[in-house]
Amino acid sequence: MNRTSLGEFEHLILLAVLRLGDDAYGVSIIDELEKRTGREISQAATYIGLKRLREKGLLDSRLADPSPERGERARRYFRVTDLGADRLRESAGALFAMWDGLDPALRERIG
Amino acid sequence: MTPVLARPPAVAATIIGRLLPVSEREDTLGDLDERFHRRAERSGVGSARRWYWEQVFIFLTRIAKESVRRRFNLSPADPIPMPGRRNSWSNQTMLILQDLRYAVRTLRKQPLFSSVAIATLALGIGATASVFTVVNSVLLRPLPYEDPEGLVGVWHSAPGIGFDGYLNQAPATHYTYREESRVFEDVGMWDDQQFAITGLGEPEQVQGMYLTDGTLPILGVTPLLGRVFNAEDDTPGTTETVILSYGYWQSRLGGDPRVIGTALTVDGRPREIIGVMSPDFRFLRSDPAVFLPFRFDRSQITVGDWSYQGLARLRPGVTLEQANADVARMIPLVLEKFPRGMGIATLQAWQLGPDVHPLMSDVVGDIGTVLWVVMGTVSIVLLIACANVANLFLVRAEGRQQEVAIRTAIGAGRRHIVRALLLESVTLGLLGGIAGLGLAHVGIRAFVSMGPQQLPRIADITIEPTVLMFTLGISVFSGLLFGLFPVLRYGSPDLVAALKEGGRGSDVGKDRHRARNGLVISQVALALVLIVASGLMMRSFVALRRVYPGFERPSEVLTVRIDIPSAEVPDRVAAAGTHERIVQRIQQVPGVTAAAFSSSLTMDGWDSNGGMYVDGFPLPAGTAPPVRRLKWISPDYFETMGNPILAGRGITWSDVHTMAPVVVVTENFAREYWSDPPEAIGNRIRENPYHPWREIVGVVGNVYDEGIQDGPTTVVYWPAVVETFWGSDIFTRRPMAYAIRSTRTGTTGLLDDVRRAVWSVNPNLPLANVQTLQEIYDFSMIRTSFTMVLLGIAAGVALLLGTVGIYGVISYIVSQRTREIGVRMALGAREADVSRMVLRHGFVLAGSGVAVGLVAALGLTRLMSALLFGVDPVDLVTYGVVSVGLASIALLASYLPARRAAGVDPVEALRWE
Repeated sequence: MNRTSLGEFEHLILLAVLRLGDDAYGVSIIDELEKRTGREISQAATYIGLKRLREKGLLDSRLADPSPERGERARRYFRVTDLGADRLRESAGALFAMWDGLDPALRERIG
Repeated sequence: MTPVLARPPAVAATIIGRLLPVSEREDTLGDLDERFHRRAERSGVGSARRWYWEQVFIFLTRIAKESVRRRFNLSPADPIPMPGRRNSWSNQTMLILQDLRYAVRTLRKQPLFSSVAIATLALGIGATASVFTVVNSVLLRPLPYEDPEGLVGVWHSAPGIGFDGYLNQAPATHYTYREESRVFEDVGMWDDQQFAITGLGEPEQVQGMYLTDGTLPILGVTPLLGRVFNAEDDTPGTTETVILSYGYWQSRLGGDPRVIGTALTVDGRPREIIGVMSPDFRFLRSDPAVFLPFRFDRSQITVGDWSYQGLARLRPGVTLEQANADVARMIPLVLEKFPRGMGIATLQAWQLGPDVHPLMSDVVGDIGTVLWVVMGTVSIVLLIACANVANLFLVRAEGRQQEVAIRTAIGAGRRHIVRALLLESVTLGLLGGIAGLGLAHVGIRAFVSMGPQQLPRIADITIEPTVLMFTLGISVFSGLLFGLFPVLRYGSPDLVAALKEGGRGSDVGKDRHRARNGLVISQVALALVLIVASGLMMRSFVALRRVYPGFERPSEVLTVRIDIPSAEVPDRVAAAGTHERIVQRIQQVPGVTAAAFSSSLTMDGWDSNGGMYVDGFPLPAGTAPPVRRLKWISPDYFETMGNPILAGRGITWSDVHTMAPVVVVTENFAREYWSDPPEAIGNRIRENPYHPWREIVGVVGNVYDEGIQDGPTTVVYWPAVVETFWGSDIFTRRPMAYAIRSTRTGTTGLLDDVRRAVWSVNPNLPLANVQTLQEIYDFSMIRTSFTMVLLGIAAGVALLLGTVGIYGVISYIVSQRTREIGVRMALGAREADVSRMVLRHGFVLAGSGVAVGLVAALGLTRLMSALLFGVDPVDLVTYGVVSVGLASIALLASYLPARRAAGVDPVEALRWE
């Protein structure tokens, strides 16, 4: 494993940001992850994941929109970079390749 | 309508903010706020705040883990191996948290090690915390009165008659000090007294107290109901009043508030109840049921009757020296204000001086020495427990040397390793402290319920915040103490050696055992000190029991006190006659072999004293006669108690009836003036130079009226009724203590029969202080037996821990040297040689421990010499027996591992490599 490899949770965050388009910021990303995966997502974990992805250059961010329900604090909106998109494609490709043609009997074993 | 926005907890937000880099603080906190408000709307502000606080911990751990992963370049899926060093505040905290979790996990992984260590510590900490609780409640906590620092006990010293202090107040001194003082806000006086209460069911004798009207206000106490005494209550000729304790009010009057203003019959006279004290009120050491005003007639007071106890409140800023100086100034004024009674010559002969001291010492008494000795003792037990745990730790640290080396190799600094080790030991210490607190809780409850009644303030003994802080302190201290050994030994491991050895046991380097040997030696030494101390107490106790106390077979003697109030039988001689009829009835009770009465029984604590002039032994001018213990007795008293008559005869009924001028004295009195007891017979003594002489008609064996410890008391026995004595034409004592010797003693049947016998003479007389002479005797030795039992328990624990310590170390060394032993045996060593080698090691350890312990004991036992009786602090027998015994037990503890060593199969042992 190296610094640029993509963990499962990072993978999920990238996908969530991609799905949310222009509306991807902390709270909406957590909501999206919780809605789709059905698990409870901790904000701290999300924060660390987003930070790592930014440092790897897979995400971009910009600050905007303070509002009263946020204590007049700005939002940080995220966007998947080209590099991020590439990495997502690679990962998805690898996964699909592994899934593709999996023997139905083996599929049964994982339900 | 927009709801008012709740705000997230500011402290939690600040903490999270501090964990984040500045550039990311705003938006992350904003996200948290947004989710907080959503939660607040959905499930309430409270739940949202809880959630927010949870976030603090989640952020803490997440960021901690992240910082570690980052340092080691790990992906989020990798486990965290070794925390590295970072110096930011948040990282430090995180690392400590992580080390703590690591410590707890390590301890849980080794349940046997942890439970042994925690149990050992719990024992040491629990014992120390228990004793500290007692010390704190009895000695350290201020008295439960208003502004307790200003309260003093007011006494006198009179070196001329043998009082270095604690000579009582007389009414004349009390009034003088109260009226003339420049240093006291007010002066009070009090005296314990028993009163008969009638009219509430069976007649009852209760412990009560006489007070002056100033006394309760000095303590600053307010009653629960009604009022305390005022000057009018304390003046003769006014309505007679009484104040009740809360307990007596509850138990006998049903806690009815309407009792104020009603009458209670005390000693046959109705008194108006004017107040009820509050539930937690204690009068210094005692808890009297009723309080009565003295009602002295000031015009009748003469200088004399030194029978009362004084207390006072100092004016603000007044020192004890100033107070003593002021009392010294006022002593001559006593004679001016009260010209009758003792004259200036007598007071000068007495060398009467002031003794004003903090009231606390009147309450605490001489129990301080005992408590501090016991406190010192349990501290030693705690040290031994720490040494034991330190040894366990050392053994374990050795096994973990490789782990430590690997940590170091991958970048953990010395500081970090030290911290990790200490965190582990302190965690253990705290767990031991929690368990110890549990033990202390149980121990204190048992202690209070068993209650050595002699211990003052026993009802106040509770575990309070000071005790908790103390326990926390000693827990952390213990943890640091025993954690320090592995740190010093392995904190900076020799990487190469540790890794090369592969963690396998080896016999490289003798200094490896040095720390462990040192610990075992100090354990043995400390145990020796404790066992010697408890041995000395045991020898004292045996020595006390061996002294003939002035009576025999005390368990056969039932004692009761019966007071005949003047309201019941107004005439004194008639009262004495009532006692005579009662004792004769009691003598007829089946199973009673002898019965008699006396104004006080040996060691029962009721005493009267007076100076005695002896015919033919004139006193040098300006000196007072020595003070003697005085008792007024019935015939058969010596026979009933079992005190032999050494010369002459005892008191007879005819002496009592005719008020014959005769006395009986104890052997030590006789020997003070004459070489042999029979020579005393026919000599004369008197209590007052102007009164008639009384003839000594008998000499009896010595009695230890103050307890064996204080030596025999010189006693002068008088007939129960005496003519011309202490200013009375006819003198007698209304309360009398009965001694009833019977094989039925201890059965309720006997007590019922005695009660019936008393009530057949007068049905209004209560029986008080029912106890056997054995109980009085045991009580007189309670300080010694109490100290002996506590020291004995501590010594037993010390011995156990010390033995386990030696056994553990020798076993460990044997297991470490198995290979070497195998080689020796392969080369021809016999089993006996091998076990001798191991035993020698054990013996050297035990011997060194005993030697060090002997030196320490020589120094430390001196501190307890005040508690010893009939045995020298440097008692060779005790030292010898304890040393040999301890060394033997140590050898025995080495014997088992030695046998195991001898049983080593060389082939098996060599296969280890």
